[in-house]
Amino acid sequence: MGPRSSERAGRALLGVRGVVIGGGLAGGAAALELARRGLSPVLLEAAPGATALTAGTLDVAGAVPGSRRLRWRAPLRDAPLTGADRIAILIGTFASHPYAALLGRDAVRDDVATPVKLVEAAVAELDRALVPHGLGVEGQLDENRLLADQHGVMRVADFVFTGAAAGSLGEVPEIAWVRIAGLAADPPAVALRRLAAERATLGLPPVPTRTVELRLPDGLPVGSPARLAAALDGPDAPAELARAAEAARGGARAGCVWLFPPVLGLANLKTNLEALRERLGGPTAETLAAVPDPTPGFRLHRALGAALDRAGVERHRGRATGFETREGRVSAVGFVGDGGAHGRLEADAVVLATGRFLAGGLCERDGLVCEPILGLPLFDARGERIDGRPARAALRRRYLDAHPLFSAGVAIDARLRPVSFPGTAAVLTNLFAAGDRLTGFDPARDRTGLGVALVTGVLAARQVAALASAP
Amino acid sequence: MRAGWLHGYRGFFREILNTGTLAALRLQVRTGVLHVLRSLGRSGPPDPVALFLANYSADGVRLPDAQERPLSLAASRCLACGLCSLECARVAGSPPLDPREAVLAGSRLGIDLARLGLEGDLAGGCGACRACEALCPVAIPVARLQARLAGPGSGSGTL
Repeated sequence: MGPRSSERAGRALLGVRGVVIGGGLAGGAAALELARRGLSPVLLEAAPGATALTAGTLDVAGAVPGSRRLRWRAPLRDAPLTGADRIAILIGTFASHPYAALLGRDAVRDDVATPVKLVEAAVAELDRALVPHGLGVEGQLDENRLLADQHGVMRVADFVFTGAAAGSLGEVPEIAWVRIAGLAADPPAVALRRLAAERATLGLPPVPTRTVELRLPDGLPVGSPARLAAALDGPDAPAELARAAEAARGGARAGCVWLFPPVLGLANLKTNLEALRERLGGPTAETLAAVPDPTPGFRLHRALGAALDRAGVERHRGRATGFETREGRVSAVGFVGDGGAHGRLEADAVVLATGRFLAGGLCERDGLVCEPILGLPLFDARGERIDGRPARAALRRRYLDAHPLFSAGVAIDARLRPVSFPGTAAVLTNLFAAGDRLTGFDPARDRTGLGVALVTGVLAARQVAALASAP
Repeated sequence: MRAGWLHGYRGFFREILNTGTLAALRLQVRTGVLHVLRSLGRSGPPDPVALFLANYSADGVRLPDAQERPLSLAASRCLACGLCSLECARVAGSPPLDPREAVLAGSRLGIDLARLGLEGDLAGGCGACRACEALCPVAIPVARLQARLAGPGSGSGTL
């Protein structure tokens, strides 16, 4: 062990400078993994993307594609599927799904343990990094947590961030729907009716529900969800919440699940939830959020940023504009920072995790969809080219259809290196891609959004580390 | 040509038949009869700008200002995700107008602010710390919009 570890330290000092481009979960996970391996990474962030808009779940394999309607409801109606089953179905359905490229097309069926272990290790590392900053990840790949959003619409999730985690509504004695007086929300009766209908669709038995109105002390800004969440970070918030909950508790059954709107603090969420649980005597959770109140995503964005700072990651703000290349390798990344100043980062390896359209990882230029840094061809989940066409051409007519545009991304080889066309050689030997930048999946439909970001981010970092330890 | 002209007024009859309400009838008379009479009484081709203002200025619509156009376009990129409001609340900013609402109002620069239902005193603007801008996925200059909304003219409720 002795000589090997000193050897490794020596290489880190020699400096394989890994530049990660992308401020979301894929980029964050890659940078954290590189930092953990002693390779001081540099992170270039332009804007928050889909990560900052998460509803409160980290979906690794939340759905079963293949059933045309109600796709994620299938595992409950039929025998519950394990996480490995679901990954296998994803790979079997979408030839170019990132999980297939990473784990090997046959790996899942032959060796279930490897991908499951990989996913669980990645989630555990993320949890370890986020917990000091007030956010954790709970759950298991084999789990089907049934969560409701703030409108009463339900969904299945495997991994869930602190907040909605305790709100699983499978076999529960009673559900208490908490309304905060003054805070705009769906009328509880409407949300609960929706919830009951959703449960019936899932074949779950009816469950008693109650509506509870929480009166918070005067002076708290209940008129705005954002201001209220920030105000509930105050030192008195746990006590005030507990006092208000005490008044609203009356006669709930033991084990009743208490569902709150997603406003219970930003950094102090955990403390507030615990204070409420102590007083209410049952699981307390927030509902999942829906844009335009992305409190869970905001918390994740903040906690991830704090974890990166704590890990000593060098962070720059700016948008990558191009690469300097030498002998088929990236040697530097050019970027435009705040205020239009140009910058340059020397790089021995690059992880490209710039996402899709939200934060500008992919864009429409002169009316045509393109990948702005390298101009790489883009493919949809079925392997059809969609760059060089108007975005409109890659959209279907009906809202709920599978829009090719939403699975747009670059093709990669088995080592996550972007390729021009599937099966061809890597464009640049030290460039790796992760997250939504990859083709082959549609996070909103197959519920693998942040799961793919996390797993591919970690794996891309490992590829960089492998370059570092190569002779 | 004349048949085509009549063609546009099919809705007039259909609306009355379908709804049968007085309010609908009044609206239809206003657009279908008064408007026609007014256009018949006019001599020569009307000035489109004057016509536009005559018809819509009562509803709070102003002529777009070429200088405000880039700002208005930037604001129209808004996804209404709400991250700016959360960041503003976190840094304890106290703008007279919530950042997201400022952006939504800004995307309608050219409309009388009074018609947007904005409440409170807009003068003073936000602290221009620009914390919200760092979090905007589509890089909207929120602080500049806030300043513009609080700027000259806003006191009287017009932009």
